[in-house]
Amino acid sequence: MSDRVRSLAAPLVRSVLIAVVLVAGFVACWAVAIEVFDLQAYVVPTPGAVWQAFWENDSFLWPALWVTLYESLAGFALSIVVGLALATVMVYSPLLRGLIMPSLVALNATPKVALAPVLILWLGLGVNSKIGMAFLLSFFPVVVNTARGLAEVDADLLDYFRLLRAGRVRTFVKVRLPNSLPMMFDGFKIALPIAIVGAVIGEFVASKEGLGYQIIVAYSTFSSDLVFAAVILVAVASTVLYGVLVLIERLLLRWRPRSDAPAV
Amino acid sequence: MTAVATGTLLSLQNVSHRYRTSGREVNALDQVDLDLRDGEFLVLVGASGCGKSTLLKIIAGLLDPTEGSLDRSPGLDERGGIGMVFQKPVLLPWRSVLRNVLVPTEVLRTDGAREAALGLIDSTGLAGFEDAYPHQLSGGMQQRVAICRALLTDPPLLLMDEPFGALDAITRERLNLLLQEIWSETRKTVVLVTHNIDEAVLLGDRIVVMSPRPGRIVEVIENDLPRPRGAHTYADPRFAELSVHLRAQIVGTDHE
Ligand SMILES: Nc1ncnc2c1ncn2[C@@H]1O[C@H](COP(=O)(O)OP(=O)(O)OP(=O)(O)O)[C@@H](O)[C@H]1O
Ligand SMILES: [Mg+2]
Repeated sequence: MSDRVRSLAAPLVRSVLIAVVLVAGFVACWAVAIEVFDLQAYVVPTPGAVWQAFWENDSFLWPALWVTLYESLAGFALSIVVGLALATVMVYSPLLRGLIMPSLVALNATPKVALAPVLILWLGLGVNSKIGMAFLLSFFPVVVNTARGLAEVDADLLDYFRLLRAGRVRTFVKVRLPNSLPMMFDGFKIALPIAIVGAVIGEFVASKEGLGYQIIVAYSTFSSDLVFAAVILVAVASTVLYGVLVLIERLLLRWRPRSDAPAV
Repeated sequence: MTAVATGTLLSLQNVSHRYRTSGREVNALDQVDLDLRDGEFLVLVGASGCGKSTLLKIIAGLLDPTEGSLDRSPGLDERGGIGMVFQKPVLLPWRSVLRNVLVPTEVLRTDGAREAALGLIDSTGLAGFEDAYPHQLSGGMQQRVAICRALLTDPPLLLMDEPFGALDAITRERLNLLLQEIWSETRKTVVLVTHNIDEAVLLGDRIVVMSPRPGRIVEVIENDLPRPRGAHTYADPRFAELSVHLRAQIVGTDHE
């Protein structure tokens, strides 16, 4: 058991170390660039100023982060539920698949960012419109990947379950669903960061809370140090959530052949 | 469906099958008559595309013939009455060996299969790998897991579609002998599809030779080579005679 934990944790520790080195390098380049190009503080604040801005304002940055994360994760969860439902329908009904798939492609092709004002009109200024944006931006990769995973089952395997007269529900639970998990997670890993982007965009357009709102407020007072602090906070939170998702994936897909490829 | 005669497990009368895809029709099987005798080891041989898999699927009840009729003994209509092994192992990669072998009883909701599963795993030389995942096994071992899975419900009929086609010659011969052993111990009826002529002659009680387009039975050979067969069988003059005959038949009817 502890071996198992270690084998899961080791790549994570390595990833964290790499991340620390990268961040340190990035901050150093940033500081040097300000000196070399003689950048004004309102254009690019120094790392130190951003750090200070964060801790001076953390009393409202943290609550703003929780709001944004709540909106993002709710939208992402909605993507998973709706995505799985649509994918299931598409696998079992070629007719509905023919209706749903083109609609999804068309929806995906529309600039969803432009729909933010409409969503706010429909769902109000509160969190619901942001959840809607997070959902709208993130659900396409979830549906498409889940549908592929549910459909791409070896024909002989399906024949075998037919021979056992397993029925649709059992075949779904015992074959299609586990078969689709790796592809579902590939979709989730694309969708989760986009969901966060969706929530922030929603907050940009019209809101009273959340990190997107704080960024807009900071802009309007030319507090670029605070803008940077909030943006970095979104990026860090998004990365951490992605890491959690990868960890869940590894736990659920332990049966997959080990590869030496780094965790992504 | 009428009852089959005693001593017969399944009977096909005048069975034809046509596939229709995008306007094109393929006559995969044409007027096939065949009785499966209880307990026999039947081998289907023929060139690629002569309808062997189609015939096997019809026997399994996975495919309804477009023409003709099929009578089965009642035992085959029970769930788990037919075991099947495919060219690829088609295991569930997310399940351990033991849990893969247990799939049929799990689907049929019968209990107490664990002992039987462990027994099968042991007798096919997989002991110690119960908890391994399929990707951790060699191709031959995976196919043995598939055989265990097919045998778990103790079906009277075992269907195998080129089960050893993807394996190397050594593994293939070993599994041939393992299969003969399983068959002679359990006295199941086995239908084995192959296009390996040595395999056909080594294993079959009867060898059904098929020809392609349209898929037809051109000859049924009774193979009286003494059992148990093994390495010594290859030295039997009758083995050489049968292989030469089969080779002439199959290569002669291959229009590809
Ligand atoms: N699902 C299908 N749709 C259309 N045509 C098919 C289908 N399955 C098989 N056929 C055609 O039917 C014919 C017989 O196919 P079948 O798979 O039964 O042959 P086979 O003897 O098993 O060949 P092989 O030794 O290559 O496995 C072939 O010409 C094939 O192209
Ligand atoms: Mg075939």
